[in-house]
Amino acid sequence: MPSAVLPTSERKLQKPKPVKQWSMALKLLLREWRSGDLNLLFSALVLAVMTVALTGFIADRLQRGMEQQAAQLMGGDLVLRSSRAVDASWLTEAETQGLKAVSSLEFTSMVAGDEGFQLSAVKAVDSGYPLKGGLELEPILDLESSELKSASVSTEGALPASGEVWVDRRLLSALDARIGSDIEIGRELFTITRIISKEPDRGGGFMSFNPRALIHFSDVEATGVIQPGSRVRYRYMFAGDMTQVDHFKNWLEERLEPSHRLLDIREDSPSVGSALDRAQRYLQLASIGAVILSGVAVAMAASRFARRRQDTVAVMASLGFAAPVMGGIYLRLLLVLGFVAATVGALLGFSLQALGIQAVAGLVPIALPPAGWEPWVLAIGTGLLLLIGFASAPLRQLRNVSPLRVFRRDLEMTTPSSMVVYGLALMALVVMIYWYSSDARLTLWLTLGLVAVLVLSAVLTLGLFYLLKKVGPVLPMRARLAVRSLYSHKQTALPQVMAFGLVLMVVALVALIRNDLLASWQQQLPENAPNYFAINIQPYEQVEFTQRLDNAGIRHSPLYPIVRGRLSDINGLPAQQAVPKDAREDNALHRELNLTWHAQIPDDNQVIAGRWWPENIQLKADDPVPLSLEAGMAERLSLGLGDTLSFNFTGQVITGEVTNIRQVNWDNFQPNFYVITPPGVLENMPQTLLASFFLPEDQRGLVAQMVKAFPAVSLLDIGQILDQVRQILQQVTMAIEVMLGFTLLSGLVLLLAAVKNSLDERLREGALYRTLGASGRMIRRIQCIEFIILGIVAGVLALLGSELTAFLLYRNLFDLDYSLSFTHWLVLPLSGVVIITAAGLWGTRHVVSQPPLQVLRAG
Amino acid sequence: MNAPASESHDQNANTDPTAAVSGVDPLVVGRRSVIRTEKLMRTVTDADGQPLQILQGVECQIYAGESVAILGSSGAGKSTLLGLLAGLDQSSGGEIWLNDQPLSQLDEEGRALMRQQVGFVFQSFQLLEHLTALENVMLPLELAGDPDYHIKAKQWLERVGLGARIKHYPRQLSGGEQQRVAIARAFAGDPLVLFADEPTGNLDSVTGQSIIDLLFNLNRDQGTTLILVTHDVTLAQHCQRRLTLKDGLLHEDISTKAGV
Repeated sequence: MPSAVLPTSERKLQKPKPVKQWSMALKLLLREWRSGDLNLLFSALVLAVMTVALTGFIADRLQRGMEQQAAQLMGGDLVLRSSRAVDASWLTEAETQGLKAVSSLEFTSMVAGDEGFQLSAVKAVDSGYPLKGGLELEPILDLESSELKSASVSTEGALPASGEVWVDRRLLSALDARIGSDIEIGRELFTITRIISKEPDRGGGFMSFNPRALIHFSDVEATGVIQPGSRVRYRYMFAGDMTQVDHFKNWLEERLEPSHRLLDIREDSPSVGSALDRAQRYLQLASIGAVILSGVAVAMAASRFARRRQDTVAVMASLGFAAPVMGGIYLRLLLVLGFVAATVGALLGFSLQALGIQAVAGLVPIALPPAGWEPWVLAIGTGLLLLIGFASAPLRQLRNVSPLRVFRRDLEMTTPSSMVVYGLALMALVVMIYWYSSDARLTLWLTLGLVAVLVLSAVLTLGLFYLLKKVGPVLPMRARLAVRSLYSHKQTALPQVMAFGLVLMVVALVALIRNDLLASWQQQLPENAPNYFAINIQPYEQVEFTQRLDNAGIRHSPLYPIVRGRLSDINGLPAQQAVPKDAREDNALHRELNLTWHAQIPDDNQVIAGRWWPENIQLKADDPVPLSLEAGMAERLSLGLGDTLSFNFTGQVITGEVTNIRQVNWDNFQPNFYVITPPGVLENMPQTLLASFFLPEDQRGLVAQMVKAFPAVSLLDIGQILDQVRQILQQVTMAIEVMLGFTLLSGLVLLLAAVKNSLDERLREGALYRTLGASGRMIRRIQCIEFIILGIVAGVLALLGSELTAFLLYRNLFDLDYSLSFTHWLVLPLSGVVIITAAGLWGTRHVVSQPPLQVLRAG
Repeated sequence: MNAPASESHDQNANTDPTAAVSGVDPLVVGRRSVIRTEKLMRTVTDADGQPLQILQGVECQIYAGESVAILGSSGAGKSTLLGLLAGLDQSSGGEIWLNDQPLSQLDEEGRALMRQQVGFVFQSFQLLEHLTALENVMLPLELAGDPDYHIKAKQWLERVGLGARIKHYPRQLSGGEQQRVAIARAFAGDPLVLFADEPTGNLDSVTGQSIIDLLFNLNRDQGTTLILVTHDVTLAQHCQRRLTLKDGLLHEDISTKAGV
């Protein structure tokens, strides 16, 4: 029954029902969506998340790809190297922990064939070898010819059976043997059954100087080569998923003895390792840059949105929805929007990444493994963090809108305290940077750098504006008006100029580092980087060897003399006792070191302590011999300037004093030496020579001729390793290009957001100027001057900021040389002016096209 | 056609353009017309994309020194008309002569020059909030390239009684004071015509009255033509002529038709 209408006097105030904030938020979202005012906020969020997702996915896949390759170079994800066999229980433990494990044993031994002997690197492997990648063998059909064939087959877990040996072509040539020949290793006779063309984990190191013979692990005992005290190297290789590997690594680390060395992907192959490291840092940095840009764009879009919604909130507040309730509704709306944007962004990032990688699949020879789930979390988490850090503060202010605004438009909401705004944003940034990099040092430096740059640029900009205002009255009319407009709008102009500066700075930085990284890799591995090393060249062969290479038109390095000596004493004590306990098993104490002499410091070497000797140094008989020591060795053995070292050269002892320590670039595949003396010290010692040269593919035949002509010389083919490293660099380069593109895109969005941020004000002012007699063209000119000033200021800020950051980052993160570039100093302010003026004029083009009275009435 | 208004309208249009809505008044013939319109049309597109005729052939003639009130219900197109008369907007048809210059023949640059001869006063004051009172008044003078912009602006502020507050920002001024600044700004450019869009709409009646007095005193002293858009009957009563915009056409109030 319908209840009768109560007389007014009997109507009671109903208890207000709580507002359904979530459903209101959803309804409002749809309406707001149609109004178009959320577009910029939404795009900024989507772009931020997309960039992070894209980088995340690409970085993740590249990382996996590169790790896969690096693992191949090393033979496993984790390798334990030891001079003695480890307890078998360790391998069992690895298998219990879900890892695959395989062991190998390497030693140098004389191998005898019917026609001669050859010192060879014998490697005995167990079933399961290789864990990563595959051995490539030459097809058996080609065996009759001595020509090198490129056609090859890959084995699937096949290994030499007991009594069989697989050899590389060098050993075959050296012994003048063929498939089916018998060769002797130690006491045991083996039959050559296959020829190895590619060995995934050949790697570097002294063992690889000698040609390869591969036998089964179970045959080692029978050779009788392994005696107590023999120089052998056990390698235990482990593979599994990364968490398992990490877990097992921790387990192993607790049990390691001094004679053990644990290698993970980064340590084992420094050339790949440092490239990986730097690339990863770059990707991190670029995505952090993109996220900072997007974050600022989000903040600007959010504050514009909040300003435009003051009236709505005031009206709703006057209708009984308290401003805090409305503020709450808008915050929920924002959250929903953020979630949608984050999902859309993540999906876009994923698809773009999949498409992109497919598109370049032809260029990148290695198929990348699929991405994991982590990038999804990272991307969506970034979106929400951005919202909280950059957008929540302005929207929260909507709760403070006074309902009185309905009557008095001039009642602005209180602006949030800058402590809250910047504090929140900074916190979000710190969290994100740390999340991306897991690097506390990087986080600290970047955050400090960013804050310093921001504060510095704020002070500089305000000072400049003030100065401009002071000179304003003497300027011509348009410039005067532009300057006054800038100064009087400093509250919006300041964030704008800083946003512009930030865009330029980040983009410049990302581009700068990209160029320098690529250049340094290019330099490290040029097209014709030497792919062969020739060692054991006898002094009497020197002339002929050089001639042969020259005749064939092969470019080669000079021939470096090598004198092999053992480090016997340090500061008068036997070396073993003189070094700290944990260094006693160091390789440098257990083998002969390669020494050479140089008047000048070799290219790519850098003295980091002490001084290099004068070029024309003449040592007298009683002078102490100055020594130059490689930094890594000095560190491992705790050696420093002034320490005296004695070297034993098969009976002759030479003692010298360390006068300088050298940093050596191990990435460049050039001959490097641990210990160097001045000329006039080692010349009379027994010596051999070493050279490196580049042999083009079509001249491979020369190898066989050289091996025949110089039987004692060992030719080491490192082309394979170079190729692997090159592939990795190629992938990294691709990732870097993609990142640069995305940083640019984020920069563009921020530019537009910053321009839009002042658009409402500019629309109104433009309209007003026109009612006061200004033409559209005059307004455009005034704006143009404003944007030019903004562009110059932003360009200069970006220049200072990027130089400062580059200086810090290059030294601390990328191990690159920093140098001021003058083109940079010219290009940055100039491009600042061009880009910002263009973006500014484009973004404000409606200022002169909308009917002024319409704008003024609406305002 | 527009039945109620068309009669006098069409006749006038076909005979003598100078004798438009204002009527062929012997007293005003020979006086200089500051604004004259002929078949002024303005069509806009509404939210559904349909064309909407706001002005459907407005004819009017306003003479130098006159004060004219334009009345009309909300949405009748008063502001649109004002914008067109001031050369701020382009018509869809017809012609406007501002100081005998046909506006349709001018480009934006030319119209801007013409606009330097008009002043504006708005309901919501429309001061630039980040500029001081003085800088606000300086602006039209500077845009017109007047070298004495500083002195003149100061004098105008003194004239509207704000000589002591020239360094104040709009937010530091009351509504009435803000409107005085706006009036000073409007008169500073020494305009031929002053357009006022509900100048008292945001003010209480006492303040509103003082603004009305100021406006009309200056109008008289400067010999400016004053065109007001208003709902305020008191304000309209102050004007010599009252025109009502209805159905896209302008109708002169019978009581003022005879002119001054």
